[in-house]
Amino acid sequence: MKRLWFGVALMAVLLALGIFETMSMTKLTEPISDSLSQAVKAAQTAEWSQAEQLTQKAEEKWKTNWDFFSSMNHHGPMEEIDSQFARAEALLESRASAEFAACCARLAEMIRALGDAHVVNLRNLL
Amino acid sequence: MFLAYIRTIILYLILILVIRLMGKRQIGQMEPSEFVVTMLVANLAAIPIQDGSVPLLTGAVPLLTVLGLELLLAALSLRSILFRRLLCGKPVILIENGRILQENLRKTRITLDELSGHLREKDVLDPRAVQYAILETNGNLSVFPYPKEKPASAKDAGIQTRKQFLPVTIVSDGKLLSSNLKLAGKDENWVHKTLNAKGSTVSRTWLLTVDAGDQIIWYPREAGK
Repeated sequence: MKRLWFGVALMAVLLALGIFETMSMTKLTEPISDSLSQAVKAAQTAEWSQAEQLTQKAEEKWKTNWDFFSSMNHHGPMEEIDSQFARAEALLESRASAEFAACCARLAEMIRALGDAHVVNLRNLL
Repeated sequence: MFLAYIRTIILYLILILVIRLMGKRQIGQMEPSEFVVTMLVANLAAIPIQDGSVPLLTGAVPLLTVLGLELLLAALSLRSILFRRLLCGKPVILIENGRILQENLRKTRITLDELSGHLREKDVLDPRAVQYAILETNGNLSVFPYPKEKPASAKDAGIQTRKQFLPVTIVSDGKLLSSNLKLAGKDENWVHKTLNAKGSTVSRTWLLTVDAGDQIIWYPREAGK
């Protein structure tokens, strides 16, 4: 009987952790990718201070939750996102509008994909 | 992580189904679910060990999920005969009263060569000497020769045998096992007295056992060890 309850408890804990992880990833990645999407629009209309603010906000959120993200995701995509943030910073300083917009768009997409990879849907299951 | 959890459950159930459908021959000494766990656990642990960029949780969650599933299925098997049948199948008689049941051989996909091999492993050369041969759920073949084909036991020969008792280990590798002393109904004085009679001590004894009939087995430690 003890083994049965231990098994049930273990499966329940794992299920709860899984649900928490899925919800957290979505909740944390959406604002970051939204900020970056807005930064793209700001750069395209030459509103550089707003673009800088939004990019920094996104980067700060990314760095704050970096430990959580790295415990849930492969490190390869994480490191690529880190290097893309560094690139975005450099492009922001040089005020290269088109390259900066492309870089931020790519970053937003990568972070969105990172969050989507944890959503329980048929595509991810298969 | 949640996806790893769900995928592990799906793959686990698929593996059990595949092993069950493959039949008993592949399993060896294990039940189907045990075989699946054995196969999965080693591979799952290897992934985060080999690849440092893989988060530890990616390996730990599937491992724990497999453990949880195994515990659940084992507990359900204990409680439900139907579930046990579903998970493990049931034993199949291959030889009955000296006759090989060909239909059952076909069902279990055991060839005649395999059956002969299994019989030889059990020191049986003639299937007609076998009253029952049963293919168990773990893939082992249990062989029961006719009583007249079996070696005579002491009972058959009418020989009065000594009573047999389970020996209890009192000293193991120079260490006195106090909990076993109580089990054997002895005390330390008895140990020292017994070992003194053999010219030895606890630290110089490799093995000392005693049974309910006061039969002692004693081995000294070899020099230098």
